[in-house]
Amino acid sequence: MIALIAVAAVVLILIVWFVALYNRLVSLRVAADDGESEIDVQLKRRHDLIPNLVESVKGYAAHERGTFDEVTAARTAAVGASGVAAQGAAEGQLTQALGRLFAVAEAYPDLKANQNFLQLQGELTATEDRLQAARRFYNTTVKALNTACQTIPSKFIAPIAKVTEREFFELEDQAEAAVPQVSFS
Amino acid sequence: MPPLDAQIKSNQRRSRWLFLLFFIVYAFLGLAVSLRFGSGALVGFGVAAVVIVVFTLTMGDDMAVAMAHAKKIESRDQNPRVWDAVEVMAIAAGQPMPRVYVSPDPAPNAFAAGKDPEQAIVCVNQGLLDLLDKAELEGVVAHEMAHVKNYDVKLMTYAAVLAGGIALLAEWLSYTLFWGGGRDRDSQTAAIGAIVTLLAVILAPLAALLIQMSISRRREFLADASAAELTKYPQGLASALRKLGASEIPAETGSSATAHLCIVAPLGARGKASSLFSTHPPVEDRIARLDELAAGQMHNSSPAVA
Repeated sequence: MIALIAVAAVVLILIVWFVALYNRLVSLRVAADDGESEIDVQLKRRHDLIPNLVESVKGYAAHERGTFDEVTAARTAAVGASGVAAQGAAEGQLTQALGRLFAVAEAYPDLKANQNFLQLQGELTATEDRLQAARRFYNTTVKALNTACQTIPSKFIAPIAKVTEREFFELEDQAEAAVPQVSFS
Repeated sequence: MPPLDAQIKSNQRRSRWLFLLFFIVYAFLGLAVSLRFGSGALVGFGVAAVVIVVFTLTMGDDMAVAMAHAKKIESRDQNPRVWDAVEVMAIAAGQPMPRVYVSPDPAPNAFAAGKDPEQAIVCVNQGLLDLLDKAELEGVVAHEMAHVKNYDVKLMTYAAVLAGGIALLAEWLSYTLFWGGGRDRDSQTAAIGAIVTLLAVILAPLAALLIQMSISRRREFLADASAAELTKYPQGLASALRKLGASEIPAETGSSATAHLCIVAPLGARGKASSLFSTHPPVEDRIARLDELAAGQMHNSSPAVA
């Protein structure tokens, strides 16, 4: 009788333990999905702002064709990118192209005082702040998810919960991109 | 960031132990009560406690906002600085957007309320907005989001009700000591009852107060650590705390009921808050820990850390 109770207790503990691990893995996957869709929301908002921004700069600096084409091409590539790794790389290119667009804008004082341009610039900055926040949440979640997929015992439960490792969303920081790399070696 | 994870884990473990301690004190008091009055008195007290908990959890956040005379911010246009800081930190925490309030209070402070993340409130004083820059404001809002995400609001409400209940019970028992309450049973039981009651009256309120303060202080460190995680920039909150610690503007609104949810302990009309029974650890200690986190981040900086 006592042996039976002991066996039942052990089985019960194992079941509870399995359920806890399974649920943790699934909730990590749900959080990563949420993070990815939040990144997509912010990317879409960013992409939607760019054509208007290019138009407003065009009104003052129509001859800077090369820069406009570059931004438009980078935007098209970013919209078409799929998978977080490719998206991150394409966004990095777009950030650099936008940097050049704003450098062009610097040369036109009238443009810099234009209310529409300033508003678009402000909205773009606000969107990029949100994108960075979404990236931090996503990457923190993916780090926990990948660790769970690699460590024992959750490693063995991951296939049952249909949870797999994910790629990080790497995004070059605008400030980092603007600073030239200096090497003293 | 191993140092950060470790700090959060150890804080959570300690909080659980402290909560267990709370219940041990309660059980000890319960023993004293049942020895003197029988179990009927205990049931009455339990019902009262449940009523208080339900009331605070359903009405608590509205009351907190009303006490701060805060105005709700409905859209980004009304106050872009606050709205942006809250939305960015909500995204970073993976939480739904909380309701945003701004209080006209000139004391630089902020608090969070709400029984769960879906119905959270973040309230910022005008004094805070006047004093802080963007990175500092984000640090403070991140600290409040951490309180929300960690269910601190709920936990602290329970802690306050439990501590209040213990104090009330102990006070009541102390009257019975002098006025000879209790029933005439055999003298041995009466003697044990008297000793247990005496101990309970002296020790229980003290223990309850210390446990409550300790939980609250631990939670502040934990919220600071989480804020550093959310912003990936501990220097922002550290700089904000330096400014808040140096401020001497007393709070005009709010009450002790919301004090434990503020970013720093609000100053009363008399000026300085006492340090031993304060709801918050000294600002210097919090800054020192944030500086440690900042140093740790620099040591093992990965490409994912911006």
